[in-house]
Amino acid sequence: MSTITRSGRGRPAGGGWELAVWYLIRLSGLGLFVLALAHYSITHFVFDVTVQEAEWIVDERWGSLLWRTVDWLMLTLVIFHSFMGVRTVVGDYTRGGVRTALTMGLYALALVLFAMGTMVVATLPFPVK
Amino acid sequence: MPAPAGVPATTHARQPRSAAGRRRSHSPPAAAAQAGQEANLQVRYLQYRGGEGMLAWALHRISGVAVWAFILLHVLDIWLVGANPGLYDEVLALYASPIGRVGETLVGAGLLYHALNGLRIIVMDFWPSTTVWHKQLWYACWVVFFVVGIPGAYVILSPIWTGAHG
Repeated sequence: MSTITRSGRGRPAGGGWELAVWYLIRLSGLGLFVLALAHYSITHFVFDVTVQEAEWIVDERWGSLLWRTVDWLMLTLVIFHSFMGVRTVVGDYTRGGVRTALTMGLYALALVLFAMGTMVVATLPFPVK
Repeated sequence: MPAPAGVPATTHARQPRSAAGRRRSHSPPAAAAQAGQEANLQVRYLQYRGGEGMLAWALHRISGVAVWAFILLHVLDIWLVGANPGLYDEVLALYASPIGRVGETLVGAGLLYHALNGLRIIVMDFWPSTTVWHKQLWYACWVVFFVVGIPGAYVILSPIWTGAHG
């Protein structure tokens, strides 16, 4: 049995991985509702874009482990949510080998971006006090 | 039985769609019937659902892909903070420019719509009885979108005319 909604992907009937993805897209979406909107507000309303130079990010934005953890959590959720969302779009408009190739390409790109984001948030030096 | 105007007078023309659709005949009368039928199907596709529900879905998809595309760029530019801080600062200057600010406002609009409508989808998925209010929920999304979005856009864009942009 699948639940049909007017704006979202229908709940997969089979269970297993696809049903887990369906739930996780919604769960990560809920997390991102808070994290991404807060992130946009901080970077555009609390601070103006002009002040956010590399040095400022080292000294202020990522000066504490807490903010790095929050931003890394957001990175994790957004990579999962956005790439699995685009996977749904690809699945709707392609099939067969093209679909497989594009989906594998998406997964590879997701891993590369996740690695790059994790790398910068984990290795950027803390400010010298 | 006389054939209606515009439909070839063959027995094929009055057959059920599924039967005619499966036939791959290229004889002129059958081909004409098939062409007419395709036009008919095309009209039905253009009329596919429609209304608020379809618009909400289409905009959710478009905004989602747009925000995804920005995230590709954004992870890359933040990666530069560690890899090449000088180049990052140059990219930041582009973000702070008037064109950059218009772009950020559009990204914010896409993000805000996707977030609000996403919440609406979650509500309808987990409380299916609310689906009867899907239009009202969508209008509520737009009220919040403009109440939050117009002052937000003003804050981001005003440095363009006050000259305080980068």
